Amino acid sequence: MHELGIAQDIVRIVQEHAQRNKARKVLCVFISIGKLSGVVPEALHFCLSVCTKGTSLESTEFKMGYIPAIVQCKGCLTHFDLLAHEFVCPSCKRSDWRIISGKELFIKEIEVI
Amino acid sequence: MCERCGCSTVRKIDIKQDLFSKNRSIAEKNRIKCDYSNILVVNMLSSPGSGKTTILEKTVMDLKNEFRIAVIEGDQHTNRDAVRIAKANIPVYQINTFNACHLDAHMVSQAMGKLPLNNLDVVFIENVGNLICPSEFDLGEDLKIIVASITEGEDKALKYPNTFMNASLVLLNKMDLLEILDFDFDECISFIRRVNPKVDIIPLSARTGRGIDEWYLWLKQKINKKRRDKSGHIQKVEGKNR
Repeated sequence: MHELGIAQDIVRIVQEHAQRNKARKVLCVFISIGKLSGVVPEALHFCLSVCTKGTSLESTEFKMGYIPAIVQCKGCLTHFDLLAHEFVCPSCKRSDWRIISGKELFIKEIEVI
Repeated sequence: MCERCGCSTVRKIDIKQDLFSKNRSIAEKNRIKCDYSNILVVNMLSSPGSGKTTILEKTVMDLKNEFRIAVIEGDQHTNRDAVRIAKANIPVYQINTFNACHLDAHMVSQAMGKLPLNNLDVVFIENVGNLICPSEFDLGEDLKIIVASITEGEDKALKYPNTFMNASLVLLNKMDLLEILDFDFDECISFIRRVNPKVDIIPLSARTGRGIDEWYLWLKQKINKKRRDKSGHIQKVEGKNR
């Protein structure tokens, strides 16, 4: 359950930003999760519900969006979705690529009043 | 609340804060510490029961007179692995993660504090047996190696690509069982290569010792390379000072 530690970090960071911006309430937190980050949104949701209980974020909504695992083939330079194509370049059939996106995990923005 | 008039307009605040950054910065400190002392740090990953500890035990026993070795053991509970390794009479530090499924850079940093870093050539970090979570946590290592055993089936690399993608070496263990298993060796290699075309693969058996010399050779090359890198670094720094 490495999502638990991540959830604790999210709560701390969001509260810091809310305070700094003199927000009365945090309505929504947007989190971006790379497909290759190893983080499971369902597990993160569950951990966030535990970590926010009794805090100022108890009624805050947490929205999560995936960032696809996009790579560039080192052979023919085609960009493709690594997982959808099972690690093989759809145009030249090589499997040698560099990762463009998908390893990220970050808090994108928060909505406050 | 709006700062100007006190109304309750909804505001968006841009954050863009990386959630792995805290771990990464501690990992970088670990790396700098070990680079300074010329130590090769190897993070060993595998599923439970693949033979990580058996390989490590054998490696430490066979190479301890040639290199100064220390081991950081990560397990959820017990110090059984540390006890096994300690029989070789080398520095061992056991981390118990309790409810956590992986080692993180902070735990490793504390363990490194207990090791004689000015008197080592290589530190092995035996991660918690788990092919998912540990892959996302940089510990400050130079290399990740995976121990996969042929009893786990051919398709581990496709099922756990994040872990295999970042590895420098796969030790394919329990090769002594090849004859009695329905294991397609070539398919397994092709799956690993599909996820990570550059990875080195060494089939071996920790039990019979077959293939183990090839692993030692690989490791020695990496240790020696790290030594050379370091001496180059020192010369550069000294040159600057002059």
